[in-house]
Amino acid sequence: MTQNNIKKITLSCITIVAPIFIFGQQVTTQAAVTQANGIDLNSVLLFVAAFLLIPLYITGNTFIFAAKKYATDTKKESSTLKKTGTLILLFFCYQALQAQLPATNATPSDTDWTAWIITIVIVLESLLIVIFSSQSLKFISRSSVDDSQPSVAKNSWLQNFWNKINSFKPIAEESDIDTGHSYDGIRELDNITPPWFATGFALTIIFAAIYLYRYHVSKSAPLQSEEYKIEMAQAEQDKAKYMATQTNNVDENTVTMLSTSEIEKGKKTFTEKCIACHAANGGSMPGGVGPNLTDSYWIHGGGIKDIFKSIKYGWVEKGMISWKDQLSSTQIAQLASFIRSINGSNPANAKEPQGELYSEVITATDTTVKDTTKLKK
Amino acid sequence: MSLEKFYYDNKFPKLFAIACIFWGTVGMLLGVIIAFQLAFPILNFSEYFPHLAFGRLRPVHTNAVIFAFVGNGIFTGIYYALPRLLKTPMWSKKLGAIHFWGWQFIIVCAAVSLLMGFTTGKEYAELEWPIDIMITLIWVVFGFNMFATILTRRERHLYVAIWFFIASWVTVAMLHIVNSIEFPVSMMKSYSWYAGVQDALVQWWYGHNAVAFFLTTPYLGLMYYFLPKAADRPVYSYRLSILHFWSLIFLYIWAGPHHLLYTALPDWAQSLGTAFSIMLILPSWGGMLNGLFTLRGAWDKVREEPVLKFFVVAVTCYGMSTFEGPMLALKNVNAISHYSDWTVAHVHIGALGWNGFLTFGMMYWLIPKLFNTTLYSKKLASTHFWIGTLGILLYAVPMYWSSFRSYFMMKAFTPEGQLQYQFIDIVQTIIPFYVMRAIGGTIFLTGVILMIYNLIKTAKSGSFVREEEAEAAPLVKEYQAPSGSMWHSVIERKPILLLVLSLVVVGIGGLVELIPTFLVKENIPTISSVKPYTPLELQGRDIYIREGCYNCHSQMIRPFRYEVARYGEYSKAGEFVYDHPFQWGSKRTGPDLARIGGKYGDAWHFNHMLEPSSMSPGSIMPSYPSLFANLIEKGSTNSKIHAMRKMGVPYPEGYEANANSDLEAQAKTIADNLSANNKITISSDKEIIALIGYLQRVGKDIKLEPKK
Repeated sequence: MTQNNIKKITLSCITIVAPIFIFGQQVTTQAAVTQANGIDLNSVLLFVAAFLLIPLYITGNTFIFAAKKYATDTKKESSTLKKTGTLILLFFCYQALQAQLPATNATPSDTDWTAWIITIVIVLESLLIVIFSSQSLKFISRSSVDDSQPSVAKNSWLQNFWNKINSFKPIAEESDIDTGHSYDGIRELDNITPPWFATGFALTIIFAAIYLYRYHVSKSAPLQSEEYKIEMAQAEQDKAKYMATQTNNVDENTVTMLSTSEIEKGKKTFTEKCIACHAANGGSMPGGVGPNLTDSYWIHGGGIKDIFKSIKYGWVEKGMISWKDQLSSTQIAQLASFIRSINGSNPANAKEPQGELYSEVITATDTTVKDTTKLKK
Repeated sequence: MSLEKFYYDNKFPKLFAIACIFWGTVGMLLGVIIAFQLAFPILNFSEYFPHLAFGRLRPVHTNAVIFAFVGNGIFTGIYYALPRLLKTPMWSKKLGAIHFWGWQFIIVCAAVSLLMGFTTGKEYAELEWPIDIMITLIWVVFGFNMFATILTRRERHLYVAIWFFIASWVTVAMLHIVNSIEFPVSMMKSYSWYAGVQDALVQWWYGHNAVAFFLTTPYLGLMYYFLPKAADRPVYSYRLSILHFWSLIFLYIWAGPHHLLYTALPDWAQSLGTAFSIMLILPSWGGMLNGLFTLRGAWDKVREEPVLKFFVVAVTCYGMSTFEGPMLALKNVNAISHYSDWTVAHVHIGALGWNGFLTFGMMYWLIPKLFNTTLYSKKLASTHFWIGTLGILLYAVPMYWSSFRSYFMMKAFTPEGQLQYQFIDIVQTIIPFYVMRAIGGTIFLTGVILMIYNLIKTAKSGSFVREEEAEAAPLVKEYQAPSGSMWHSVIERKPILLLVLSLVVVGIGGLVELIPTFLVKENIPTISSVKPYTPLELQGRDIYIREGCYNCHSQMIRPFRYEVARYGEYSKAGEFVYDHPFQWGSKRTGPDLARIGGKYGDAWHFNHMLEPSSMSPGSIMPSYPSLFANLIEKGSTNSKIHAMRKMGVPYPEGYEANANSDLEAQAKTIADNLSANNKITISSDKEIIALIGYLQRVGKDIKLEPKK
């Protein structure tokens, strides 16, 4: 029996300590990953994962208990079942911890990946909970069939625990707390509210008080506009750091015609983003939304730099949106090169010319384009 | 003391039960249809019926399920339980009949008017003002009948179920009246009295508490009657009932602003919403505990009895959603869930699990009683139980998944600082989840059809008991409370006191949140460049509201990097001061439109409304060909401008007379522009022109503000 208790205690310790470990790791990870981001999905997921360990522990224990009871009832050796149960639980705890490990080394780019792993852990946890509870039910129902005379005195450790935290009164003593009410035959007992209920309620009230205090009295937590500023500053910083590692950042002053392979990439982007207004062949159509990009007439200039500029900043009043938040400068350069490359392709059913004649003809290999950017109002 | 003989009437419980099941089926069928519409936009049939597009059908679904299905479910339970708990028949059969037929008439009017596009544009309160008035009247009839019954009772104390009925009645009355204050423009058109931020706060104070006091507290009352009855066990804890009843109704009312986290609502109101939502966890759980612990010692019955199975899952779903709700009210979780399918999953755990399963359990228990027989098939009911549970899971899991996926895609940036995905990429990714959800809903509905068959067979096997005889002694005037009785029993003896106390308790939260938002000017800082809509834009806005665009498009950009990069500068409180009603929306099936003005050209909108996938390949938006045929309703311009001016929108005195010429001039500019630049010929009096005018205005004013 003592041996059994030791096992139980060890098991409890592991399950209780596990979330602390996870959270401990998480605190440092979080600080590194998303200092400013406020919204951190991973911590939420981890919270859920850790929270699920509690029901998992309970159901796991029930499972072991039920299996044991089943085994004794059916006069079989119980240790195998016990061991299996314990092993499953231990294995799971280990797995859960393992799964958290990537989080420790997470960089901003793989936070998403981490979240997926934790999500999978949550799913596994839920699955185990379901399996444990259904298995326990099976064992219990089977053993109760075998029980001709269920023993009243012997309550499981878990049942005792459950009764204790809820301060249950044994059903046999129910009449002591009967209020005497009878509404259409419905009687009412006067059980005390479960102590954890009252404690929990008090805790949520304290939480609410601290929450309001932090945001509105001590102002130690950032309100949304401040949070936004922090987030944007962080984003700027990250971007600058990244850009510093990149060579040849193009902009509208430095862009040049790119090679054929780059033009192919530009074509892909064109197919994804541009064909709604400019048609698949770039010629738009009569009455189309965007202008024909294949003829020699241009509203905002037909040089590579002009085109780059039009894509980047857009001509909003004419319906051309700005793409600078959606396409990188490299992508815009590829796109501009592609658009130059289809010039003169003269597709069928194209839109009539708009804008001014722009006479320069450039081939894909020509990389020495003179500056044609005209000043626009 | 001589016993009095009297009769419980079973006609109204039966009628309400039939109505409940009928409207429930209709409402759920509509839900399945709109779920498929989201996956397959062709099912909008917009070429033929503009009435059946998602934007119009979805409010019919929500209203049908809330007010027709759950509403009639509440009345079924009350008309059955209340007389028996009070040992007296319902006070008036005539009022009962007015209540029943009036409510069904309202439902029919609601469905027809919503399909025709008569809507106030406020979620779950879409019905236009004449129907709002009818609802108020019928609600008063119901309340009168209920109170008269209570006052003529033969039972001294009121049982906990009745506390919930009383609190629900008075709170729903308060919410409905305050949120429905509107300025009629015509017979079937009105503008909300409140504008922008204030309208949003009132609306979600209403919206959240419609969930609380229509979907939750009356059903807790039903649970307190039917669960102990079916289990034949005493209610677990009387003092827990008292504790959770009062704390629940007090705290619930404060939580509304959690629907507006990270919006332009003042920070302090948002924080109150979060703080009170967290405090709500345990009071809500009180109901679950009292329900589940009542089953102590009856769990062997649960395995056998489908009624109890339904109750157990209903109560568990209630516990789950009331834990999930407060979690969703935490800022960082809400940042993920708001506007996403998570909210949809959350409400359906509540609606399908809690309201649905509790209703089904009640029906399986009640119908055999009403027909003095036993249930036709317990096995079939058990099958329904499993099918229903599967349906809920298949509904909810894809929605959770879709929410997480879209969140990750939404906020993904390339290292260079560009958004990694376009909105349409995200839409395409989650379409499979929409399909799964629709299948889950279909399965749930199949279960309901099994139930209908089972219940009809049950009714046929028995004979309807129109009246049940009972007897009880009348109450004596003088009553001496036994010494040592609980203080609360005083309130239980005085229904009017209970009513007044409930109103006071629910009133506090509302007053504290609403009054400062209306009176303190700092809450909505003025932006000088924000001007009223032009007459054409106002007409366009009404078309936007009529077509229910707000069901899929928000107009509220939250202060996050990924939203600002995707949609534009985040929304400010001062931008909405002329928005009667506000159109912030609660779900983004499509992108946010708060800064749509000037983003695309007129021709883009023209083509997009005609065939969305032409401008946005892969779009699941319905097309709106009718807008290209319908004429702008110029006759209403005058009264619309007038109504707006009466509510404080600064149109100059007498502008009503010139409004239409301004309207025509602006419409002509748009039509000319389309023809000059895009060779599109469209007459300038078509609705599409007004809608383009409105869309090109939204969110633009703030850009004109002089830089400080």
